[in-house]
Amino acid sequence: MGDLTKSLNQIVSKILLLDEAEINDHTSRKDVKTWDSMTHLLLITELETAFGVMMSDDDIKGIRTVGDIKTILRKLDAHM
Amino acid sequence: MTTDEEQAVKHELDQALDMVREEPTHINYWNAFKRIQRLSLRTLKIPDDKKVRIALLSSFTVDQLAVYIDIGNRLIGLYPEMYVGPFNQYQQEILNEASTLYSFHPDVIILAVTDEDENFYTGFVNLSEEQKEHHQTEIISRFSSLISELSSRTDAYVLVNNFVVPSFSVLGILDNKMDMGLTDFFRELNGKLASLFRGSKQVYVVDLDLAASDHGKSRCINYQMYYMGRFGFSESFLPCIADVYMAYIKAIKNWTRKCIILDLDNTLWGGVLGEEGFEGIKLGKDPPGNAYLDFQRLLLSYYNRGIILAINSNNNFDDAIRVIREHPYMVLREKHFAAMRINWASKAQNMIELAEEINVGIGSLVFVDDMPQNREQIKRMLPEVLVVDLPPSPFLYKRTLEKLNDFNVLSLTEEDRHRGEMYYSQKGREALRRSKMSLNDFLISLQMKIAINPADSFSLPRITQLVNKTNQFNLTTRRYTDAEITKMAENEKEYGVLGLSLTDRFGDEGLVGAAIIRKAPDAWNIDSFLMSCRVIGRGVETAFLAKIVTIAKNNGVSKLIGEYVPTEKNQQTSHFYGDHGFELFQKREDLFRWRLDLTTSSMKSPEWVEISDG
Repeated sequence: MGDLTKSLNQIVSKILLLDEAEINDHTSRKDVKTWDSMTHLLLITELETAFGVMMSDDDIKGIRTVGDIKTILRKLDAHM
Repeated sequence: MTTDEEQAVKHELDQALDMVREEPTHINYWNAFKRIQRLSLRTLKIPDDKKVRIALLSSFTVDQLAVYIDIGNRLIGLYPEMYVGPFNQYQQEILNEASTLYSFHPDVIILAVTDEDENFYTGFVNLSEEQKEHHQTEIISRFSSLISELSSRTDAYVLVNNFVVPSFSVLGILDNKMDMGLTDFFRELNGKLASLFRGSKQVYVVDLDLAASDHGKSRCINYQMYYMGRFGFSESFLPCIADVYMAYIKAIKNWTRKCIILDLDNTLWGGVLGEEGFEGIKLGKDPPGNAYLDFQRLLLSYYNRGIILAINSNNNFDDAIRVIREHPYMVLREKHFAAMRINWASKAQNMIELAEEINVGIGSLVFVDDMPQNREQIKRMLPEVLVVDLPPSPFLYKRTLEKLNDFNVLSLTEEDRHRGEMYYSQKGREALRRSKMSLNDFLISLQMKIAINPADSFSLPRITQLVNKTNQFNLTTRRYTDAEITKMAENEKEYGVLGLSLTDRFGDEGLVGAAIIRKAPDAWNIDSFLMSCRVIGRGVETAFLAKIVTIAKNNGVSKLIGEYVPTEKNQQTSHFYGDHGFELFQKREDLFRWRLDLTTSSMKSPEWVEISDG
């Protein structure tokens, strides 16, 4: 597991109250009850702080799964 | 409901809170809050004085503030129940008698609101002075009528925030050349709001503008989150504003500290008095002495406002009191302290005596000490005391103490303001009345168990270490190498090398004392006797000496001789043998010898220290 995945999973797990083990690229907003519009914004704030990036409005709205987050973080050349 | 269930819930609760205590990050606050919400908290039996019902009404997204207030309450041992009103419906909630707000029966209502008239700023420059005043009056009357609705329908305390004075005005440098610029507009508005409720015992105006200035207004909003989710406060500002609300909640719940217990060395002045002397300590006009001076000034203003001050210091009393009475730059003098413990007893023991003498509960005390190990001792042994995490630099002492929000009361009486003086005169009357009873109870409650054993290969390294580094409670301060001590330990005919281990109800302290005895046929000589500072003053040293007396007697020895070699640091032990019935028979400048006749005397070990024979 890469560093990016590890710290990403920690953040996702703490905000959405999921076990780190059950988080994968397919973990999606559709399936996770705790992933509502509020926790979505919290997630974004934490990710931006942790990885030193600023996501665009389109990025933020486009995120449907944990895999999507990774794609965006890589695109933004996130610090790890 | 079983106790097991309650225990499990309590355990999970503590775990979540410990995570926040260790790392108070935004994500941890959120995570702890959510985890706690999932627990069946109703299984816990909570006394009423620890419960608090808080309703939070707002014109913006306030869930994050609820998180910080909920956890903030729990961190100090309260059990909050929160109601967060629906987004921007606070007016409907207040006006509708059947709303959830009222059926929730809050003790405290937090009204976190901003002025929603977004067109106001755009047209501000074109408004006449009359129009501006009219607008102010409108805002104030809207607040006033909403809040009188609230107070007519509930007895809850109402906390309403004032307005953040904007840091931007389109008028720029001319803003205060206008009859009423934007800055003036809001400052006046805040003034009017404050006067409106000045006399109220139910409604308190929370100075959001002050809190925002203190934090930095530009950092109070995270604009991304503000525009995307109407988040009113940024992650960095949330803990600050929550602290402000907590100040009110502590006052409402009588969670108020009354007394500051102060260390002396490196707390009220710089340096160690015992090492640097009256002239050497740092207190005065030059840095860092000026920081200590300012810190004392802050303490004096607390005193003038009715906070009781007292001293808990490990120092020689005569030296320390001379500084307090005679040092030209001391701001705090003897009359400012309701009680003093300047001695070599343990800080925890002193703390209990101070609380008794001043007659306040342990839960009213705040402890200020620069030494982390002293703070740790108090945190462990007296968890109800608020222990201030003083930063290493004295330049930050004042700021740290200013940040405490634990001295708040809902109103200040004349009596409050003079409390410090009252305590001083009371002290004069009652002198130093000490209640030995409950100190005894305290010592018993520690459940101390000691084991005293001859040195073996396991204990030798630790004994050597203690012999070579102990300065304060060390009767002779004789240093020996590893090899020397090993030799003595092996030569049981001529030497006795003993180690003392201690456990108490807080845990295992390990090996904390050592003694070396030189044996002659009729007399044993205590060559070395020493203990770690953190365990002295609890009677353990007496138990140790009594055990040596017993061993000597059992070996048919008739005399026990104790030696004392004065050093700069071991003054506290100068009367140790005398205090235990030994008689001084030889006195040189660098060596005092005390004698105990074992055929006629015995020594009692304190009953609260259990001795297990190993």
